[in-house]
Amino acid sequence: MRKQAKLALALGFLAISGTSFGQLQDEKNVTMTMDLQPILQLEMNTPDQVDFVFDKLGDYYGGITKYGATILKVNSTVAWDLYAVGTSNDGTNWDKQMEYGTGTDPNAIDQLPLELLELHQSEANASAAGTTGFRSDYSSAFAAAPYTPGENNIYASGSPYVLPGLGEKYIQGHSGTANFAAGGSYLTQGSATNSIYYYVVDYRIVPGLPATFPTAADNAATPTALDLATVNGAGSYAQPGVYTMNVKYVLIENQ
Amino acid sequence: MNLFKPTYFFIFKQLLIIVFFISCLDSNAQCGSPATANCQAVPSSELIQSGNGNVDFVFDDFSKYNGGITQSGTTTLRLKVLPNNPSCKWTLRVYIENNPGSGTAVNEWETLNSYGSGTDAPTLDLLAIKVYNGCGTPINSGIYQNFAAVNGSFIDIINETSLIPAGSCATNVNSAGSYLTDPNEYTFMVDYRIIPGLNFTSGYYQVVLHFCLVEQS
Repeated sequence: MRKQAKLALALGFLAISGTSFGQLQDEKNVTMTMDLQPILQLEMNTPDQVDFVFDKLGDYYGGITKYGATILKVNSTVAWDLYAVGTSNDGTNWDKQMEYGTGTDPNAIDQLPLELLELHQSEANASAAGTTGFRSDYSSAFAAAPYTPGENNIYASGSPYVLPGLGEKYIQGHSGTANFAAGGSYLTQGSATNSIYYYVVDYRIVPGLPATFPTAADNAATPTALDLATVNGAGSYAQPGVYTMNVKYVLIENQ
Repeated sequence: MNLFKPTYFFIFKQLLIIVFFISCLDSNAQCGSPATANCQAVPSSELIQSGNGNVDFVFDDFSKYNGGITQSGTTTLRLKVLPNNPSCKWTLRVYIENNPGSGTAVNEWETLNSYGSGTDAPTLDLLAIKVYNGCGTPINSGIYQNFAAVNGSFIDIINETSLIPAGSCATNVNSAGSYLTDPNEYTFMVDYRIIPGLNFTSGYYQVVLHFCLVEQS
């Protein structure tokens, strides 16, 4: 028995020695980390202020259009939505900075709806399935009279950073995670004439005569007219003066 | 001999345990286990790594996403291989590891922190390395090579079954030698490049590269 035990131990020793003599094997390690930071860049070329001065009869009748007043360029590493929102102190009407005349006429209205401003974007919204509004974007060309209220009117809100719902207009992408534009850049994807990462935005205001803003409307499936005569009654007209509003372009990760 | 007698069974069991532990010590499957000992072992022979052990790629600008980031000469490897006999030859390879024990998918970088709600972690094939030296001895010397998108995939730097002597300044020099006497053949510079593009979820990711010097059996 002892012989057999010795034999077993000898076999074990051989097993050890057979694998443990100095063999060349060395290893060094490098840890690689990759920090992919989200990037959402909206570049905007536009004057600090876009002025509409109505001092001729023709301007009132035909309106004033500012072509190419704003250019938007998008760089994004994540899926994104882009919308425009008109806002002011009360989120409903233009801010009255100055009034011309006495303003005592009850038909002279100084509550001008933000929706009287019209936008036109150069590229259509390609990701707007299931939307419920009259239009999902601002890609329709500005129409001449007779106007189609609701076609190009800006989305207005007193809470500009709350995402517009399915019934409102977006420039690209829309409410809900299913509607979005994929990450990309105007630098690499498409050209200025066909890229969803590059927009030329035109503005138009048509006061009409009397100045009731006949194009003003919301974006309901059947738009509600917001022109001064409809809202305030026949004979109403805009109080002459200086009015301002703010247009924000919001680029946000799809959500 | 009846191996099922209690005494023999005990010895046999001990033997099995010893052999099992030895096999575990030698089971570095990615680097490979040499079956011969024609070269001297560590520390007589050694693989010396200089440069930062952590290489960080920070993508915080669109142009970096699009054009990628290259880190040149970040890692330098120096080899000293001493022979036990004239048959000594060796291989050098690098393999990628994504810590699969943490639940990382086999083809993705390990996610340390995700910045968004997306689930598209970057794939392992994003990482490219370029290995070169003065004599151009590495396989594909000076050419960027991407890892396959599989945990444990490797790129051979030197791998030749026949003996290529030091001083020949040829591809796959793999004989005994040293960076001290033949720096152009036994020194390896490594560049790294990542071009992520825009398809992956923002976040903080990690992989580990293992450089292995093993005797060519």
